[in-house]
Amino acid sequence: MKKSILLLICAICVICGSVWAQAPTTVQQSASRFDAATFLQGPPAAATLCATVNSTAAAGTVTITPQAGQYVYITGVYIDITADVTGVSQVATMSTTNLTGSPIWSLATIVPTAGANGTMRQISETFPTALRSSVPGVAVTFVPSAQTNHAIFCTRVAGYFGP
Amino acid sequence: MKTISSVLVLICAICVICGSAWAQSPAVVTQSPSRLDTATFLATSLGGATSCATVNTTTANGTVTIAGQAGLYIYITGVYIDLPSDTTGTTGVATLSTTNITGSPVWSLATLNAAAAAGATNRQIAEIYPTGLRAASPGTAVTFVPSAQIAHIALCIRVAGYYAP
Repeated sequence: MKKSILLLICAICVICGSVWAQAPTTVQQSASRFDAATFLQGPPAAATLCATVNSTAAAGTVTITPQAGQYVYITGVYIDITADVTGVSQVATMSTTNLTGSPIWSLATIVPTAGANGTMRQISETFPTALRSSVPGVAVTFVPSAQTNHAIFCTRVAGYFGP
Repeated sequence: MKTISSVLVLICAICVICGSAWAQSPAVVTQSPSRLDTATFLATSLGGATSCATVNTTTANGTVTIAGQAGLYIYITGVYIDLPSDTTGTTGVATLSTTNITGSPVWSLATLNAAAAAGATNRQIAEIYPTGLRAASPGTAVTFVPSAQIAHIALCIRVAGYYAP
């Protein structure tokens, strides 16, 4: 009798052991993501800025303001850059605030001569595990250099807020 | 009798350990090729093939509409825009605006018109959102709307994504 019980327990343990050791079969349990971007922030008056050369630094600045105690998590930075055929080549940059490392982007363009093809490029950077701001509760800004001479800088920043 | 029981218990313990060990999967990257966050649509401009092969497309033809589903958010995983221009007319400064996305993002679709014999210009915008970009409101459509006159430019827009709570 005791032997039978022990054998039964043994069999159950073997089966359970195998089952418990199975890894889950899904990549994730839900399609909802807490780390999905909840904003794709552009500069103020983006429609004008994204269609007009010679915008000011103030007009081109993107500001992302978190709630108190929250960090800004950035998942992507996207900048459309176009230069017209007037003026000289430029070496504009994009600086930031509240990001550790104070990253800078080069927005330099070479102005094409009349009759040549236009200068167009896009910066498209993604941060697969997101890029967290330095200090919680403080805005992150992306600021183009002072004079965007004969160029259009159209910026978008994707991200979300979190503790 | 005690000895037999002890042996059985020992065998039992070995079986449990071995059973667990045998059941371990090999070192695979993922357990399943199925993903709940995979894009389930790649929506395109209303004009379809016409928009992608014709300059001067209208706003209506160029618009991409992703219909809402009750109670679900639209998660966008990528925006892709093919942007060729012809050699006629003036430099284009078109834009693309959106609805139901926080931040009201705008894309510059500006092109420099190539002079005759200089060759056409071609550009592609390809943006990826690694963790998805969630719409502002659930159950509401997301639209991508080009500006009114897309002078001498063909606009071919695709938006990838999926629906989820």
